[in-house]
Amino acid sequence: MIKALVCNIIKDFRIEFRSKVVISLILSFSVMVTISIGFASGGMIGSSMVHAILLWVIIFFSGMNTAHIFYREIEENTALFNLMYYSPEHIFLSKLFVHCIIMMAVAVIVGLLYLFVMDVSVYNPLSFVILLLAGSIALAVCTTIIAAITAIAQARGGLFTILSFPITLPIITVAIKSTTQCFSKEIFSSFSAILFLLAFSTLLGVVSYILFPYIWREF
Amino acid sequence: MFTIKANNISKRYAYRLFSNISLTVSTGESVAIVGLNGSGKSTLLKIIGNIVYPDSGSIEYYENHGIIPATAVMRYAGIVAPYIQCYNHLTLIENINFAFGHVTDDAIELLQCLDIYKHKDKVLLTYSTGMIQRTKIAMALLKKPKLLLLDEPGSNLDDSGRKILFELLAQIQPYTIIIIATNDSREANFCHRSIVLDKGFSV
Repeated sequence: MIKALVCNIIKDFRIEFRSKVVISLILSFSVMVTISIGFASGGMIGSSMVHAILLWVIIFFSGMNTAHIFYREIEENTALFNLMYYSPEHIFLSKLFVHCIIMMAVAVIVGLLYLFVMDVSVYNPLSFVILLLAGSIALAVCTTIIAAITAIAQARGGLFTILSFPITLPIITVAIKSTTQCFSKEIFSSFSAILFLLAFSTLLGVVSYILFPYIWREF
Repeated sequence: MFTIKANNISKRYAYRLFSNISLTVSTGESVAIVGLNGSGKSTLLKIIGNIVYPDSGSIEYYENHGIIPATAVMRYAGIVAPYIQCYNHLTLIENINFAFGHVTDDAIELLQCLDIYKHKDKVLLTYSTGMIQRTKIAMALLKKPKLLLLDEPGSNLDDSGRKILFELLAQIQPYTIIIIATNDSREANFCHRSIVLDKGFSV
């Protein structure tokens, strides 16, 4: 089990670092949008909520590019090759791990860049960091299963957006509310929000793990 | 002993591909699926490999008289087909490491036999189509499959490649089921028997 996961994870990262498709898409989008917002607003955004919304919108759209890791398997006809050696469960868990790592990296990079460019103060840094990580894990679980479902479809781009909207809505809503509090001077507890994000990720992850073998076939 | 029993398999897409095909094949036997373009050779091969579901009929897999769930068949199968590609951004050795975790002496011997060992550290993007085909054959054989499904295995191979392919198939024949979908008479003649798909029926 561990060997299968390690082989798949190494393979995905190795291919990504050689092709640089997802990395370049994510970095170019996140950096360009954050800097554009910074220049356009001229540091005039005062509301904590607007900052939280903008931050999570950038993280969300940057992270959506991770779907390409699944799409690549279909576009390059390697999905069956992978299935010849590893079970669908191994493939799902390894892809989920890769998505989580990339999403967490995206959240941290975008978060730091946003704070720097927009000159936003964080009054509860620990909660902010945990929220970023928990939110990015929840988004990663969503993108993993939706990317798998849509990978086989012809109009995968449109389908991905439509399917991800209702599933990511509660994640984004909760993350924005708690991040708003991190940016304001109010004393609050982000425990319930973090718990919600982790519970959501676990539940969706378990359901996806069970469903994946039925999705990932008939290429 | 590995056995496949297909009963009255039918499949249609926009038009009927084939209907009521039955087949029983066991370890040590080889079957060629032949027919015109679009007659359903590849689809029948995919159904046998449980990659595609039939519209009707059933297919059962047995190992030493114990039934194997269809979902587990890929674990026993090696497949060489145009719709299955190795990872092009990885080298040959990295592909083998991905699939098996390490490179054995047997693997090196097979790669030398297929004349691709000298290119082992190049990414497959730099390979010619013939070398890619040899790589796919190597990856399938290294798995020591109990069921070997070959879809046009000789395509893109030169004469020496075809000769090596037939020699390798002859070596593993006693230990495996070989099913070849082909239009090439030499590949069909290699097999013990043939299924001819003609106008939706097997002849």
